[in-house]
Amino acid sequence: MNMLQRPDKPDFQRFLTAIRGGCPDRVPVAEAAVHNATKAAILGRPIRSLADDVAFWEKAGYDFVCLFSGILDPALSLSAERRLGARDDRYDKAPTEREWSHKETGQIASMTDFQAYPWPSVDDLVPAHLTDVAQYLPGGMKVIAMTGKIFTATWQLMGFESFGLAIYDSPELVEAIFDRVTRLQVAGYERICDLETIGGLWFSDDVAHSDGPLVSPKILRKYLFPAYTRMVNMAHEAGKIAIYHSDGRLWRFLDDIMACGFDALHPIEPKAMDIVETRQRTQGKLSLIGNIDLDFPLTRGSPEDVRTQVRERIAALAPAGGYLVGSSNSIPDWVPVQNYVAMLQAVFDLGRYPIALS
Amino acid sequence: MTDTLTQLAHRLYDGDAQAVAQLTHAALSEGLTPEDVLNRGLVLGMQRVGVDFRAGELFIPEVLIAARAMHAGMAVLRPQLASSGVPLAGKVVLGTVKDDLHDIGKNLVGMMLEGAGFEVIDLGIDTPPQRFVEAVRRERPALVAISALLTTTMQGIVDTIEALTQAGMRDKVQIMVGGAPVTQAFASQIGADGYASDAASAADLARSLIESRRVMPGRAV
Repeated sequence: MNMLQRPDKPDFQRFLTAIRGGCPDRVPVAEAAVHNATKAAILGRPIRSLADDVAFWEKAGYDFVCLFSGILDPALSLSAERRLGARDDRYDKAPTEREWSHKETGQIASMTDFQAYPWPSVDDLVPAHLTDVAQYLPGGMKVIAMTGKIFTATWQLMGFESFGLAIYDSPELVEAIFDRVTRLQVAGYERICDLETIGGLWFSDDVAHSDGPLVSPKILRKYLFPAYTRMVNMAHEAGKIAIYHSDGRLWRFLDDIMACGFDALHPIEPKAMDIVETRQRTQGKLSLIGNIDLDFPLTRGSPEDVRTQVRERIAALAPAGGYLVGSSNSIPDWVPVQNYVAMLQAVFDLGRYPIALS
Repeated sequence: MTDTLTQLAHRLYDGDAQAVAQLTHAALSEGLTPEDVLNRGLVLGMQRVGVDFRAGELFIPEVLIAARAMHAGMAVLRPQLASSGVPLAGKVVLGTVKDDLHDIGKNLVGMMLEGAGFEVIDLGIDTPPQRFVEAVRRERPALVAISALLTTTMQGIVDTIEALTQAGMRDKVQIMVGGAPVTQAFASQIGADGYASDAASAADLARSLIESRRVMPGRAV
């Protein structure tokens, strides 16, 4: 289907060097999630197993395998097959329909609901694939665990509008959910940080829309960032790196995110934040991942458009180090495979250090 | 402005639904017209919410509690408005396009439009073009507001505009579009009449589109 050939072997040190602000042998590629159909197109066979998944990440040029863990999307886990917990069933039971949480599908509206909620155990949050993957990992590759959400899981358990109203009407309920989710996630992180296969944690938790924060920064400073600081410290003490992902405009939180100690920021949506300005504001404190625009060129542009944008980003950001190329969100199934391939190939062709682009 | 209307706008800004309902009653009891209570009390309070939301002083939860207070005031005021024949700012048909299940942003737009005095017909999420066409035929709105949150569903906006054109309704309504991947450039490219980047801007845009219709020959509001 495609002629993508990575030019080098997987090397987690390449990834680590860039995450820690340096210049490796070439600009790494990094993605938090790639749709299984796209993975299959790249690999040339369906993704039916963990081994297939690992083979995809290796073939596509990555130095890590990204696997899910922790509480992710409780509002999407309404069916018996998709209970709240880690998404470790995605190879043979992955949903084909698009899903999203709704304002009225919150599962917790009261303290009674909170008490009755079937909270997962820590074992549920550390899926077997995080250890099973060891047998498939090629030399040089590590796992990045896409860890569960705290802010997002809290509001999804209530529905966003109910959550927003509860901040004023039932702050004790909001606090109870935040606390319960945080304690579960922290317990899961402790276990994950002990795993040899894990090279880092990728904290995915959207706190902003295109124009700014979803809720008052006061809320996040009270409930979220202290938890992140604790978890990032746990990761660092275990020798793992910590990446933070949030969509949207994060200017109001940049100092908080840096103070948490994260090593890198992802995905830097072009519509929300200019990546060059982000680099200026975070110089030396956060490496940057992503920013290749999911809308245009990745979805609506041509492979040439994609290559042009990758070239511009590498020229602007890579020479100083601390930049990893990826989409401005993830690679959903609507991104044409040839555009995804064009992004990866452009990095292979243009991202070799020393960077020779002007 | 009377003390009661000033208080009404303030309490709405604070999201105090109970006080807003009481003050709406009080304002009517003082002999103020329903139109004044609406425009100089409720709408004024919601406009201030919109201004501060856009300025980053307020956030979505504050918009939600203000919108709830607006509803409480409108529950008192609506019968009076109906019986006195006060015209609303206009009618808007609102929806998220087919295959797109996101409703938070759309709902916020609906709240801000209602807060600006519009009647909002919310078609919900995953709305096929034909459902927009049927709603326009049935409701005869001045505006159609179309939302898409995913790059892949942006085409749904184009399809909806095309369906309205095919049904002979395109020149009977003005179309405003929005959603995370949508831009002014995209809106212009597909022939929408306006683009808003956030809910408060959507209310401003709706007002300006209505105003432009008032001075546009051949387009009655």
